Amino acid sequence: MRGGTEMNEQLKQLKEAFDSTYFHKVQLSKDRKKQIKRIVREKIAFSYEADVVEEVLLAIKNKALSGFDILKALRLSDRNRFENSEGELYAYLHYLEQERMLIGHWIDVDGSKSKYYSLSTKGIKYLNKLQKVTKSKQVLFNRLEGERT
Amino acid sequence: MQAEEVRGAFIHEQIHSIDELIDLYSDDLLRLIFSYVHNKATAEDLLQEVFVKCYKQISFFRGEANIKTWLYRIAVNQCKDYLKSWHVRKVMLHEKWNQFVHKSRENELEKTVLQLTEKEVLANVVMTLPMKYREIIYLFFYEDYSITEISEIISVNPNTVKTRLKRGKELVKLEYERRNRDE
Repeated sequence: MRGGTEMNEQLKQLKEAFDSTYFHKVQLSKDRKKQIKRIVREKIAFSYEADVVEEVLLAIKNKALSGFDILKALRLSDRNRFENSEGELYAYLHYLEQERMLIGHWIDVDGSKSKYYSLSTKGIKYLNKLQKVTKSKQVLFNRLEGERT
Repeated sequence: MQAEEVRGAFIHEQIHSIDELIDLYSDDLLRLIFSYVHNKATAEDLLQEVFVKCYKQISFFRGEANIKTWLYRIAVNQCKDYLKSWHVRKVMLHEKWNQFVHKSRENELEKTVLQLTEKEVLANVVMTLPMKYREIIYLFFYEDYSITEISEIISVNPNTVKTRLKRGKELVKLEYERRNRDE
């Protein structure tokens, strides 16, 4: 019935064909999109570990550092969290920047640009909160340890 | 600059806020996902997971692919995992059984098939192709992706993509012939 080239011609209309049939209603409503944004953000936030966030924020508390400096600082701490997954640290930095916990600035160092991160006011408040939680956990932990001995 | 720092900087240039990604790509992704799962509500749930996953996999994003291709790749994997899941396979088996039991009803469906417009026939023929041909026909003709890009998105080597594209077109042609014969 149809040769190969004719089949190609026919298939070139696939976009129109799908858009006017199956895809007619396949799009997000405004509300649904909003809802998806909210759920995705919540799920992403949930996947970040609070103690890693605390360490990252702590590392830049007193001076702005580049991603690589932060990595070095975290490696000095005993956890060695990002040993084989440096990319993951950038996911944290990106996330924290999106949440406006930290501020990134591009700085020219010897002719090449590097991004430096510093704490925002929101970040300082959040860090204080995190540290309080950690401290109370520590107190609770010590008490439990004490009870055991 | 250290290599890891370059990569980090790159990620920052490419990846916008998650809201931005959702605004830019959710409609395209939703259609792609729909072409696999054939159900709007399921497609919306999977779409959500794709965006969550894209953030979790950020460390694997090396930048040789563009962000849309990368998102498509995550979506395709998500769809295939979903279709392989036990729950879905059970539901599909159930549907096949129903089709078998209600053979007479299928004839009714055939009647309406005859009344379809040309566009509806084309859409229907492609949508009912086996998945491994359908996905390639879709990416090639609907999305205008090249063989190389398709091979990246579905993680299959370019020659296989070519072979399947050719075979897919043959299948579309055969299906047209079958429907014309039955007419």
